[in-house]
Amino acid sequence: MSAPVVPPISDELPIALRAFVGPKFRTVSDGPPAKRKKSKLAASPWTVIFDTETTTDPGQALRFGTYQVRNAGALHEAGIFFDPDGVSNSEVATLRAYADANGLRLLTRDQFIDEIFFAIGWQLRASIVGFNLPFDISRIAIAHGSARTEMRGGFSFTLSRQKIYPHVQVKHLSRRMAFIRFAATAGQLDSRGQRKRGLKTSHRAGHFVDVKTLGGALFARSFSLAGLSTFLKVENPKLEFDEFSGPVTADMIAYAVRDVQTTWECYSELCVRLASLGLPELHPEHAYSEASIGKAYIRAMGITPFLKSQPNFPRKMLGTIMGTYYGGRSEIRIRREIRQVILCDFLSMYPTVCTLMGLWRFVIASGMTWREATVETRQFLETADLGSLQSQATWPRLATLVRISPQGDIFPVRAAYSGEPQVTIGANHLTTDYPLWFTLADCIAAKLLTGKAPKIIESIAFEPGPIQTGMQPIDISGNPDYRVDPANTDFFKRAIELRQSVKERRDAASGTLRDALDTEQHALKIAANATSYGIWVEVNVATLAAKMMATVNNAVGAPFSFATDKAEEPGPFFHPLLATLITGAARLMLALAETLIAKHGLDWAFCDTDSMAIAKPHDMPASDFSDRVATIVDWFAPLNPYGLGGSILKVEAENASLKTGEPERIYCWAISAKRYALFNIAPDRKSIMRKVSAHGLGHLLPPYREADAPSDLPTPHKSVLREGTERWHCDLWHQIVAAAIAGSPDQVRRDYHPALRNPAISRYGATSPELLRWFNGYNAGRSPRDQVKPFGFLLSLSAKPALDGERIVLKKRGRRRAALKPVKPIAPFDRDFENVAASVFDRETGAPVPVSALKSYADALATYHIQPESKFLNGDYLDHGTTLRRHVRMIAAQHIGKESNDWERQAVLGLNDAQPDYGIDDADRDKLFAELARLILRVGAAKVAKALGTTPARLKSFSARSLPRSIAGRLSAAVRLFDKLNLDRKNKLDRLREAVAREGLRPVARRLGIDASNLRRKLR
Amino acid sequence: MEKIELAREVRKQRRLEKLKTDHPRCGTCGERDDRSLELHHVVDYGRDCATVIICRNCHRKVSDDQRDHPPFDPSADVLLDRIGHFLLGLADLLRIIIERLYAFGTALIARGASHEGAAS
Repeated sequence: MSAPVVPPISDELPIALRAFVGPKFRTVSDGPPAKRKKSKLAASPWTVIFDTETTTDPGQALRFGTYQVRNAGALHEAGIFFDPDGVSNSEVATLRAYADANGLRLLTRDQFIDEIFFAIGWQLRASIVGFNLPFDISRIAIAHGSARTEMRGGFSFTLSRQKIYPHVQVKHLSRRMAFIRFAATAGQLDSRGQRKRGLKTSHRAGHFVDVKTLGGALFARSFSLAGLSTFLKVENPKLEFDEFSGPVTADMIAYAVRDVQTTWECYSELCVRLASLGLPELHPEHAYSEASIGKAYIRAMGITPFLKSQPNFPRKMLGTIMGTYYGGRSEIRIRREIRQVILCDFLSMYPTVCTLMGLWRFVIASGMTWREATVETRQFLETADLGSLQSQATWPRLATLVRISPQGDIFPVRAAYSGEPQVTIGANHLTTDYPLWFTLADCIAAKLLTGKAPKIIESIAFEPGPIQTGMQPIDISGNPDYRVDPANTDFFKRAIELRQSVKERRDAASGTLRDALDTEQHALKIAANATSYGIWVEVNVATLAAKMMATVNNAVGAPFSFATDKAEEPGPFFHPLLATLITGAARLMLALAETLIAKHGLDWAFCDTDSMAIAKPHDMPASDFSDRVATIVDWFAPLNPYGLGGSILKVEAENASLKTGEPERIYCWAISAKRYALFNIAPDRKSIMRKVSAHGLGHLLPPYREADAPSDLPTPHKSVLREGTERWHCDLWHQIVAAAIAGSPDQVRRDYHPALRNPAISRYGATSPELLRWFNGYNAGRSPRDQVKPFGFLLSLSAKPALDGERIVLKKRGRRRAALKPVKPIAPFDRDFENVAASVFDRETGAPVPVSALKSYADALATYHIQPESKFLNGDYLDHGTTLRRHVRMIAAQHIGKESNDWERQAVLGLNDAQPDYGIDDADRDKLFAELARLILRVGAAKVAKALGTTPARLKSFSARSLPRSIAGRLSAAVRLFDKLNLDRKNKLDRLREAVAREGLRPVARRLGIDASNLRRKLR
Repeated sequence: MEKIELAREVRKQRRLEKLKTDHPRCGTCGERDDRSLELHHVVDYGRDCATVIICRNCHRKVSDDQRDHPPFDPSADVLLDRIGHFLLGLADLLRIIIERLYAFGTALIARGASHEGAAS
């Protein structure tokens, strides 16, 4: 093998490593000790279903609502309720007439709350059901505040004017789920006898079921009520109605009454589907996501969680294991170049690697042991090659971690590349001055990719403990044919095998049998996916009222204490060894594919966790390309651990013709990680989209709908418009690809629809008190009905750069020039664009922002087609071709907690609920102190002190030893900030020079309100 | 819902909440009506929080039996004392069950004899 070529060092960066900041107590608790335990009794047979209709102005205040009360499914009562302040007398008459004609009760809001919501919903332990419940609960509330303790970050709603009834607390978790519960009631709940015996009445938290959440958990996708009712084929699907801004009419009421019926039918059907899984302990109100179902399966098998079976597992070791954890690889190799590709995908990647490594043994074990294994691991690594890795017998040996001091080896590197604010992970060359821990799989991948085996300093091999007792068999999906005994069956393997066999039977069936089998295979997919990754790495982050000292267990040094307001609580089945081994093995699979691709003289365009787009070299005949890809696919066949034939690497459906199903040439245009399109090219050189990414677009409201789509752009095939992909995404990609085909990829048309000139709008819910506070200024002086309320929609917009748009100038301080602050425009929700444009304001100052200062869709999308791939070299805006791996020299270890996966929302809203950050390791302080000194020389002590949140006097008093960890932790960010400010300043100056060259010095100076000679001086 | 109906249903749900089950049943006689079911502490004097669901009739019987248990001894070993009293409480419950089994068995034999008589 020829000597590997290691490029010169291109970056010196702190490397972010996950740390374990777990609870200080020895055993994993089921939660913080509560004053009063929640009742574990399931809901009674009673059900209350309700829905609200609101005004269409920003207040979205209640007009009227509809409800049903059912007992064991039978309709007990149905009715309408209204807000007397929200409807006129004639509308009340309309409501009364409809109610009388249809045998419905008519109540005021107050009556509904007391007689139905609490009297039945709370007192009778009913299930309280709705679609998008947080919104509906906030509409029927009369007051709200911030929730405390466990529900901190959420809202507490007052619904009833009677103090005997509790508040309702709602804490938003994600788009699809929220915790909802009744708060504790005031007063003495315990009888004298109970108090004498020290007994407490359980807290009645209620049984709230959001059908949106339940549907998402069972099918792993988002639904609207209309979409869900169609998908489930209920008897009464949602009606269409559009005249919400008009008066209350019989049609509107009929629509609302139908909504409740539709919600009930969807709920019933989902309960049937949930019951069919054979998990009686999983109640509908606790099915928050796929992970809930996975956990329910594990519990049903009687498996004791790892940290409960081994509560004394050393925290330091957990820190080491977490330091090896990285997510899936998502990278672009060929950027902004049209290449013919064949898209391949690994069959159920995570369950497959779980099965190959035999990780089920760890799941059912009573803890695990570990031993020093340096010599044998070195020998193993020495002999590891394509041949040995093609044998299934090799993979169970990968339950090993290794300590390496990388010298240009390729490893996952988590860093803030190119001065970006968030860290991302890229497989890059890495050099460190001290050792780091990695999985053995990553080490083997490094050897495959460079041809050089990294030097192992130390290695630890893990073995599962004895098999747990007391486990019991279960029937997956409640089907006795799918019985699994956890003690002697690999659950991951069995679930996938069952799923494949059901899929084959489905494909051969038709009609209702086909539908039923499709439902079954989907449930099996959920069972496999839900248990094969996420639950093992689950960590829940809560924000505390004040900073507390936490112990940070890490992979590079001794544990240290750190003050943080973020509390990381491991999930109930937290098992970080499984999580890191799974993702490591998945990265190894991709490395194997990459190695085989190189070996066969091919290229690859991008990879994304479990898929790889293999690219044809320019001069290779297409048939030769197909044959070589087939060879690569076949190579993976021996690694199929299931009792079915074929390779675990599959050629995806996008590679086949939409018309004939035969293989058809497909091309790729990739821009950055997860941002690519796959398309065919017709004989007239027009592109036919097969798969487009909505990455970087999903936060924007569609500028236009399907009905208004440009007629000169092709309608995408329905297979392209899968979940999250909309018509306007396809149109944008069509323009990007068209520009590329025409040979001018840098110039993409953004004038193909007049709607693109409108301000770019993102819609969010005011889902937390922090978000709602932005509207304090707007709400002041408005009646409660007109105020923006919790879970009401808000619109976020973007401001143009200061030069071109309106300046928001802060108050002058003395003789110094007022500072320019970036504008953060928001607006209350309104369906009418003109109203939105008239009501935009800066959320920090409350000052109005004119439309001229707002970015249009065209502006917002101006650089979409040249988004840098910052993880690699040759990935800058206008670069194209093959990206090159960076060579990163690690200057410090930055310890972090759970990584956020909602970066788009955070970036747009400027929220600070980013990942917990535990600062820089002690060992790196000297280096950082030297860096601090260099920064002070460059920009001055005053600016550095301000950036680091301290005073110049204090800054001068620091030494390497006394440098506070919090200051050290902010230093790398400060360096990046000043680099960015420097870059921003340079860009601004460049734009100023262009403006001066275009318009002249004096006109520009006049427009900016500054002296022309000052401007000349600045520009020199 | 009528007021009376609601009040009745509220009382029922409160009882079920206290009994911590939607399908309560007396462990000794099999009574299912939740209106007459209660929680009985197996160990008297609140020495232990273990409870069983029992109907009011059976509760009166076993509570009366508990009055004959040895009195509280502050100097006794806590664990042994608690386990001992638990076993006594359990024995009281089993005594009722044994009586019922005896009565049931006798009744079955009697019924069997009358059938045989009828057959012959």
